[in-house]
This record gives sequence, structure tokens and C-alpha cells, in this order.
Amino acid sequence: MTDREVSRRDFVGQSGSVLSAAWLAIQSPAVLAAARDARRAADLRLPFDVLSEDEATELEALAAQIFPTDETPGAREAGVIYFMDKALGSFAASQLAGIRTGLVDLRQRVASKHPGADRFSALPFSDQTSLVRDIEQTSFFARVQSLTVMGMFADPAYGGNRDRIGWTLLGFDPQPQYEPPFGHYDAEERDSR
Amino acid sequence: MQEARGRHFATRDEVDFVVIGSGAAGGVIAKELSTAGFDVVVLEQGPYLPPTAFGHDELAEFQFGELMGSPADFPTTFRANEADEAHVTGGIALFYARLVGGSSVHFTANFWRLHEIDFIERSRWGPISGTGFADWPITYAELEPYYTKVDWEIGVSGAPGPFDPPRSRPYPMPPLPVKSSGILLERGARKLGLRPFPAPMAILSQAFAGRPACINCGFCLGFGCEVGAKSSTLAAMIPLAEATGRCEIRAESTVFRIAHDEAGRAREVVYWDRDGVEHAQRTKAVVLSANGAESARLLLESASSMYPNGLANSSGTVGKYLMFNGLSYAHGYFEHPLNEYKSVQVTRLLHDFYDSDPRRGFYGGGGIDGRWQYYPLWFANAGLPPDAPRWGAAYKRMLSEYFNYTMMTNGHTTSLPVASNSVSLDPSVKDKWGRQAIRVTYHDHADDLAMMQFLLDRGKEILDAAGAKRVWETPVAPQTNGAHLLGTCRMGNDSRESVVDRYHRAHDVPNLFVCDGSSFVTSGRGQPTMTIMALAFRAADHIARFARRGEI
Repeated sequence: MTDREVSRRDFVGQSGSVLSAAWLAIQSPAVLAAARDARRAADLRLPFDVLSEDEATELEALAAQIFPTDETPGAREAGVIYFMDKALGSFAASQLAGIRTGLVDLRQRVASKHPGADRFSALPFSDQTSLVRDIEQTSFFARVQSLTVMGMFADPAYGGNRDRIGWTLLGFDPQPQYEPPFGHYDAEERDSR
Repeated sequence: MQEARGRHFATRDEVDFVVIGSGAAGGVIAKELSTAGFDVVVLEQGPYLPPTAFGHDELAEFQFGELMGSPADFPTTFRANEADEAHVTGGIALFYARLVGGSSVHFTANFWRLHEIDFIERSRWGPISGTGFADWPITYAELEPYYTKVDWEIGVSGAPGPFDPPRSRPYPMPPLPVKSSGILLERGARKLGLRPFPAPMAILSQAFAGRPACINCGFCLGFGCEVGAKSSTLAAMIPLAEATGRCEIRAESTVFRIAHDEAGRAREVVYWDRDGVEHAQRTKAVVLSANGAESARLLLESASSMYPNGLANSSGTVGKYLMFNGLSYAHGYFEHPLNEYKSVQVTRLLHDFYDSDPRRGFYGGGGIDGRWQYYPLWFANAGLPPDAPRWGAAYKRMLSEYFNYTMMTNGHTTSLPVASNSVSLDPSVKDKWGRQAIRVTYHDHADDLAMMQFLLDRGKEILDAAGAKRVWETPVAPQTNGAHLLGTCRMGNDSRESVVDRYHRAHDVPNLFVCDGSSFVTSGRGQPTMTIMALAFRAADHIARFARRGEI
């Protein structure tokens, strides 16, 4: 994968424009539809599609650095890793090799910074945080970040955002329809009339 | 996939019209011509989707642009200047939907009319060097009856505003319910002496023409409307066209050539079906409404020994004068929840800066709307201020604090017609059909950038005056993509300087009409779809008259 492809997938969107939302080059929407059965797999605790247990543990620890568990649930509770596995086995399959290379590199960084250790997930949380600071500009971390955000906020049908944990964090309450007033200021205006 | 309900024509049947494209223009023209008694085949490259296909799946429908087609299948290349080599960029250079109904299905449904001034600015301000700044060959008064037709046939909600051009009939229904972003825009703007008003939207505030009112679900921008309250041609026009029994919507039909006879008249429209099998539909006349990028591309692609520069291109202007409209964004964070994810994106706007004003020192004008246009994933990626953390507890906390407490002002502005801003055929990149990809060359004129900055600054002042606790901006920069695809087959009276005449007939090919965003001579101030539909109603009216009189 080239860096240009990474930046596409990064969909950082430096502007607020719809036009700068990033777009994955996917094979076909049908591939995405196939990923929508992910919830069932996650509920049954079936084995991961493409990730080894070891890879999944490391990636989940990285996702938990992005959305830590504190007073509210984070990436772990949202099941982001199940989303990642499903994505890397389907519409994001082209990213799997880069993710694996990145995990190998991460392991080397762990070993050189913490002699004797070799697993990121086994480090104390604060040591993990400091390591993420070292890699936050890498294309590997951009990929992990992109997938983590998707796993946190995409429809739960894709296997992440369990119990709508991501949406609840934002205060997004998806209902099929809403009635006014919608927010504080339009309610205030209505009441003042 | 929707079952075709209209009539079926054989490709060997010579139909009265082939309409290429079923979007804002093509959908209207198909309905008007079939209602007028003509046999019409609509060739649409995308699928024919039922409303049940439209949901709220941000990942599939929005982030991956399910309605737009994969950028891997349809790459577009971009360069800022003609001297550069174009490349496939990290994003999408041209945003449009590929399905029956076209981009009228996924648009935000802001629905401004042009003002009288838009049609006559060259006369008003004189030439602007380095541009093809020109008057339109028609006036607002000539188009007004068709704007009103759009209001009443498509379904538009709104209320009169202080800067409105004259209208012959009131809006068919009141504005949509105001949101907190609308109230805050009003408060801030009024403090500054400005005059905000309800945003006209092509979304039903009341049941209309057998379609239900908006349910305020909030998924307009980039999504299809599952209840049909958004006034797309898919919801409002296509069913009427099919009901005539004279119109066939032939979906998943990708046109790649308009073929002509020895006399130079369009004769057949050649396309691939979904399996890539080539067909040629015989026809008496062609209406090309494929959008401001695709229409120009198809004319260029239809070059022949008789028309070596492309069909209808003796002027050399096919593909040139591409205009995106300018966009600028200010963001405000407020004390109380706005819950802007609910309901339509925009409910209030202002046109105080619509006209150009020489005192500003540059040409340009525009409007500012109050809005919020994020969905959860998009917000997590792009909704926070630029200095916000990107990961960790602070990022997580900030997402939680900001999601329901922010709004934006969008500045929508003029783009000058610059000949080098264009769509053309890329010499090396191919799409999934093996066609040359569309190449975009675009760099905003200095006046356009100045106008974007001007409205960005006004937007920040409005947010400040509305009591925002924090205001930030998206810095103005030359645009590298666009959703408003305007100007590439411009209308004009002079066949040396334009592609179509005032009735949208190609100067060079008497039975070929081109009507869509490509027809625009100047850009307006943003929100072109209302004008595209009005042009389409007007074009269809004249085309039907020509056909009845045997003048095609």
C-alpha cells in the first residue's frame, strides 16, 4: 500500500466539507453488505476471521489507547476488535498486510524501549500511551485509528459499536424520526413565543 | 432492484427522444416530454433503487459512497493547472450519485433560485480579465415561470425572504421546523444588522402530491430519503414519467457514444448494459443531461471524423469553464445542546452579501447558512477543532462534549468561469469500462478565494454574536473537488463561444440538446439544483414545441 492510499483511507478530513470525507476504494458495496452479518459472529464468540488471537490482542490494546475505558466504556467494550477483524477480512482486506507489518514493527519498538518485553498489550497502560506517541504519525497508526473510529461509530450491524456504546458517547440517539423542538435554542425560542 | 413499470422499447425502434441521465435535469425532461406525448427512453448508468434501499448506514452509504459508485471503478484525475500532470487524488474530485434520480437523490436539498442579477452580471460589472465572464442568453423573468413550476411540481418548502427575486406564486408549503442552528444564525445575524430568513428546501414540510412530509430523521446530505420527502426526481418525476406509458427508464446503461449520420445529426445512442454488452438505441433526437462532468465527457468522447474535437464542440468550449461554487466553513461551540443531528441540514440562511460590491475590492457574492452536517463517524474524524487531540481520553471526552453542541456557518459563493478550469479526457487513467477517466483541472480564481474568505469572516462574526463559547474556522484554500458541476457546455447566442443556444440546442447538431449544470453561464452563489430543474422544465417546454412543429 502506498502512502497515498493510506491518506485516502485516513479520511482525516481537514475541512468540514463533505467533499473531504475520505473514501475507501472498495471492491463493491456487496462486499460491505457481506460484512453486515458481523454482529452474529461476535455474539457467538466465533473465532476471528483473519486475525490471530495474538494480533487481535495487540490491536485491541491499540484501539483502547484511542478510546480508553474510563468513566465511560471505550473501544474494548464497544467490540471494536470484532469490527476490525470483519473489515480486514472483507472490504479492508487490502490493509491487512500493512497492519501485520505494523504489528511486527510495534513488537520491535516494544522490545527496544522495554528490554525483556515483546507485547504491547502486556505493557502498563501509561507505557503503551508513550509508545503510541512514538508511532502516531505512522501510516500503521493511521490505519488502526481509521478502523477504530469506524468500529466505534459505524452501525452495530458491522460488529463494533456494541450496545451503541459509540453513539451513546456522542449523545447520538438514533430514532427513525424526531419531532421539534430538537435542541435547547429552538425550544427556548418556541417557549418565548 | 426496482421493476421497470413503464413501457419497453426495442433498440431498433426509433424513439422520439433518448434522454441520457435521470437526475435533476434528465428526470424532469423525461417526465415533461413523455407527458407531452413523446416516446422517451432514459438511459441511466446507475441502478434503479426502491426507497427501501435508502437507510442510515453511514459507513456504507456515506463514507463509502454507495450511491456514487466506487472510486476504484470510476477514478477521476485532478490537477490544479494545465501544465501539471493529473493524478488520482486521495479523495474524490467530483461528487455525484450514480442511480436513477442522480444527485437529486443524495443532495442536501438546499434550493435557492438565482436572482435577477445572476443573469446579467457581465453587463453590470464589465469584463473580468482571465475569465469568460458573460451574461446568460436568458433572463430571470424568462425563467421565473419554470422556477414556479419546480416549486409546485417537485415540492419546495420555504417562506419569502428579504432579498428574493420576484415570484409569480407563493411557496406551496411553509418552511421546515427551525433548528437550534437556525435560531442561533438568526440571533447572531440580527445583532449584526443582517436579515436572515427561512431556507428554501426541496424537502416536504407537509404531505404533497401523494408524498409524505419529512420525518426529521436528519440523514439528507449524501443519503437517499426512505420516505420520499426529499424532492428528488426519483420521488417526484420518474413515477409520473413511467405512468404515461411512453417512457422507459433503462437503468444500468452506460452511454459511451452519441453516434451521428452523414448529415451530422445524432442517430443512435450507444451504451453498455450491466453485463458490458453493447447496444445502440435509435432515436429522432437526444437530450443529454448526464451532469456537468459526464455530459461534457460524453461529447468529447463522441469525437468522429466529422467532429474531430468532439460532438457539438466547434467552439472548443465543451468541458471548459467548470465552476464548483466556493464553500467556506466556520464552526461554533455553544453552551447548551443543539442536537443538530436531528432533522434537515439547514433551516435558516442569509443573502445580505448576495450581490457583488465593488467596495470589497473583488468580484463575488454569496449566501451564508447555519447548519450542521456531520454524522457520527464523520464527526469523529473531522468535526473537532484543528488543535483537538486525535486519540486518547482527551479526544474521547471532547467528542462527547462537542457532538451535540456545535454548529457551522457555510459560506456559498461565486466561481468565475475560467477557461482552464475544465473536464477533459485523461490520457492515461481508465475506468472499469476501459473508458478514459474524467480529468479535472481546477484552480479557484483569486476573486473566488477572496469571496470565500469574506463570507468565512462574516460567519465567524455571526457565531460570535450568537454567543458561541468558541469559534474556529476551516482555512480557505483552493478547492480540489466539487459537487456543483457547472458551466462545461455553456449556453449562449454566439456559436463561437458557447455549446448550446438559449433553448439548449447544440449549435452544431440540430437534434441534440444539452441541459443540466453544464448549461450555466455563471455559477450563481451555490445551490444550483433549483436552477437546473427550472432550466430542464423550460428546455422540455421548448423542445416539445420544436418537435411538434417538425423543427428538430
